[in-house]
Amino acid sequence: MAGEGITISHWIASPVRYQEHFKTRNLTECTEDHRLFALPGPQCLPVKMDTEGGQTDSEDEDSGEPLFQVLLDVTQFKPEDILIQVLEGWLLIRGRHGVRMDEHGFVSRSFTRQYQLPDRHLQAGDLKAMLCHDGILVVETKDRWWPACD
Amino acid sequence: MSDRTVPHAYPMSMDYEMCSPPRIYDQNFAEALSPKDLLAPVLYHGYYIRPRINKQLERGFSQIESEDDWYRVLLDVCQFTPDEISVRTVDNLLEVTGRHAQRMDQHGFVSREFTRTYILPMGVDPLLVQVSLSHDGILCIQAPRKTEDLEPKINQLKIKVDKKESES
Repeated sequence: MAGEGITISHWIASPVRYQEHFKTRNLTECTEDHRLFALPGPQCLPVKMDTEGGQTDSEDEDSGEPLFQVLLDVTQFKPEDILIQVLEGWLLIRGRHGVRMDEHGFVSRSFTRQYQLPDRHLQAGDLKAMLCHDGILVVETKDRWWPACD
Repeated sequence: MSDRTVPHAYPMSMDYEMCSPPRIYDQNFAEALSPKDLLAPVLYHGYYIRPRINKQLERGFSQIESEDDWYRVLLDVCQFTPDEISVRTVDNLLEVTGRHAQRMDQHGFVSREFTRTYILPMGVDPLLVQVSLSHDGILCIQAPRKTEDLEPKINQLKIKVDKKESES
């Protein structure tokens, strides 16, 4: 059975991500808030949206490590060169790019990486993938805890 | 959106982009990272980049030294063992291929393959190329280079001028 693919989302898809945040605040106020401009990676805390004024929501949900997280250096690959599949408890990441010119000539690369998932019942829908702008691919579970598998 | 490439982690100046640098870095690929390999993000040329611990080691470079009588290529192939690398020349192209089957590392299983093609400059005989691999995984490909034959052959052409006007 062929594994189901995971679509890669990347953070740079929407350039102005904190639109609501900028709307309510003065722009000059925001210049010092570096978190708004940083592209969040695995170590960046998510910016809390206080557009409503209430800051009580989602404090405990966002804290904590993901159940399963994989980091991979794919600097030389474009998002469309990367294929991520889940197959019977294994996570497969394939990358391949054809002949491409660089400063020293022509180069083509391909790789396959396999990771064992912590749970055989994890499906592709339980995982999400992000490609950070500095070429690090992050694949992690959406939930912060074990999915209820009966 | 489709033709957009991933922005380079280290945006370079125009000088760097336009000239061909003798040494390029960061050619190792599919390296697994753990979160503690990523250092705190710093601002560089207006971008936030996260320096990585494994990037600070000077591995994965490719270097071309083109001297008057020698042409030398240094390529870091530390991800491959000597029998997984093959080098060949096709006309004046120098092809380095590395391929390793699935092997285990600390994160899982990985297999890699790459082909890198260099263009031998004028005056380098492809049959005289020598390859050696150092103990730390740096492939050294060198060949003698002749320069005396590279004098341009100049042939001044005479222009034949039609005296008669063409009748039409």
